[in-house]
Amino acid sequence: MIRLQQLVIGYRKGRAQQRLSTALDFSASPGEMVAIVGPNGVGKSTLLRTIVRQQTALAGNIELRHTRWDRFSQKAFARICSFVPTGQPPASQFTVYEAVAMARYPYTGWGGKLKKEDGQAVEEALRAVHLAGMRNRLLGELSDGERQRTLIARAIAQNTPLILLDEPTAFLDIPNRYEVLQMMRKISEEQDKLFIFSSHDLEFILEMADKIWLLYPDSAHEGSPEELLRDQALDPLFRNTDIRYDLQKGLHIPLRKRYKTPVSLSGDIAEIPWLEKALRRAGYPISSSEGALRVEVQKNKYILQIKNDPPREFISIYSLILYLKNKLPDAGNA
Amino acid sequence: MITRMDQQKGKKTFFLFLLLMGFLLVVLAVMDIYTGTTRISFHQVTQALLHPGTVENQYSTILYRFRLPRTLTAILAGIALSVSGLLMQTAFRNPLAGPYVLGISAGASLGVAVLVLGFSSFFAFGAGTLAASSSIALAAILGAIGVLLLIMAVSLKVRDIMTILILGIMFGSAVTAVVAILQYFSSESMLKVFIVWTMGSLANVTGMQIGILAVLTSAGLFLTSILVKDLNILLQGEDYARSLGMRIRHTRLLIFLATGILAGSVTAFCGPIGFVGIVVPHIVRVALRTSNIRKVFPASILTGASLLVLGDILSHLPGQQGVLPINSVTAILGIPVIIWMILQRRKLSSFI
Repeated sequence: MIRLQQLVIGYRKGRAQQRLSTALDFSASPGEMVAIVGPNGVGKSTLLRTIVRQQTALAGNIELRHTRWDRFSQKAFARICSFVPTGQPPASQFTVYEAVAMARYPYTGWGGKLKKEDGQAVEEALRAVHLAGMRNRLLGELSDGERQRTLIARAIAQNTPLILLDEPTAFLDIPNRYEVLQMMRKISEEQDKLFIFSSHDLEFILEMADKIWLLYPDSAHEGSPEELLRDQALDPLFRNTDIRYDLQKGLHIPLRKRYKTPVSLSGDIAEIPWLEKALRRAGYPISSSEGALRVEVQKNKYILQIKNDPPREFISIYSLILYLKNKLPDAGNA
Repeated sequence: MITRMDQQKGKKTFFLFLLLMGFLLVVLAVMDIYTGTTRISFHQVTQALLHPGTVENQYSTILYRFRLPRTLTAILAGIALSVSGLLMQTAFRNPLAGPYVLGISAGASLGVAVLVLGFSSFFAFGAGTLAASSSIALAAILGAIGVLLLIMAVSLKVRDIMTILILGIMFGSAVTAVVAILQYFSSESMLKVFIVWTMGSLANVTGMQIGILAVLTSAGLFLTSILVKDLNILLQGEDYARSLGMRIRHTRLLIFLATGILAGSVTAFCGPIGFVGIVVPHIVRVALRTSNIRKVFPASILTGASLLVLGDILSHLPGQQGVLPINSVTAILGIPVIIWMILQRRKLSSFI
């Protein structure tokens, strides 16, 4: 479907070129979700804009359906590839239906009158993103998630095999991020469309993307999320941070400081892991043998025993940790 | 079911608005014809209109030589200014854009100034004739398109819309400065001709000139009607428009051409009339709760015509001696509306 061949992206300033990438050799097939991942400023948006011809490549070629992508006429290209730029559309006083119907631009005459198949394409797109009931709402009245779904519906109504989105999940809360990506995934599977999008939502991408195009200032990698994780290709993303990926835990932050007094836990099996997680964050290692610090976990109750002092009762994990921090500020040095 | 009803409600609002504005326009136009600086009785005006020849010659002359042309001019100028304002607001995606703000009128006045003040001998020679009126129109249009091309050239280089707007204002100021220099070196009589022109007037447009104005306005409206589909897409941002396969430069060129013809011709015959072009599209968008050009464009035509006819009525309210400059009247009518809109809405981008 799409093949990037020795593609170099960047900007031209007069005769000077500012290269943003090494020569890229990426590919993707119909029915896939491809995420463009990389640190800020590495050129994710530039790559998308280069593919959709909003910007010229410095070198190299993109093959779309076995044809050079710059050979298509504007109109023919608009029937192969649709683009959802980042940010919100500036004009808010359009209804959802009007906004989605605009995507039929490449198919209608100069009057823009919708023919029967145009109307059908708009209806199908609205149904695919579950917005059929909101067709007469104004864009300005939508929530961020609904607006993003409208923009995706618009890309679907353009009826292109390739859909590119620049940060479709930016500004969305977690349920909406998930819903938008899930919707894209479903549509790509059902309609055999290829979605290529940039995103910073690694947790979701590692689960939901079929392929990652990974960009660094001086190298580039592509592959399934698992391969890239296994080969530690994603590690530079976390440079200077403690974030690691673990098959069981997913993305997590391993603890650095383990110098405080160990705590031993007993009691309610279901509650213990929650307390354990909080204690680890506060820097208390968990010990299996009983030591100076013991906590007995009961239902909604935490009983703390420090050495042989009388036991204290806490009703929340937070208050227990707060007490420990104040009571034993330098317990680790002991 | 609810959604279908909503859709019909939107359509109903639209047609109701058109009907109302059409009715208002007729009422205002009739009021405009019946009022003026010369006192003519209601009965005599009706007589002169229905049975020309039965009324005293003097009244008939006032009606057919002055009042009817003035009303027609107000209608045409109102239409042309509001549509050119709508075009500019759409092209620049800026709610405060308009021919006046971007210096297109300043360009037109430079054209006229060069003609009147620079080639004043030619003007004096042909004053009042068709040749002179056509050349004023031509000079104004050339000046307007000159500024537009300058802004267009900049807009191809600069992406940021605010920068283009600021540059537009700068161009306008520069052009005004050149006009001031021309004024400084021109003769007193020619200077007065020019100053009166800048105050704006709907009264001095003769039958032949109205014909030219009508032809040019129609041409501008025709161009705009071709552009409606593209204008809606442009409101969604140029990146999106490009991704739908729109030839943006081509579209921009047509938009600027239409604006130049509409705003330039009005400015040529009536002088620079401000605020109508900015305010009318906003009134329509607020009333119809839509930005859809397919609806805003026809509604702006009727609203713009009504507003300028209202301005004309106010400029010669009964009981006063002379006629107020129309430019002042539209500013006094328009500025409160703009201030009200700015105070009403917090987000500027939601204006369009």
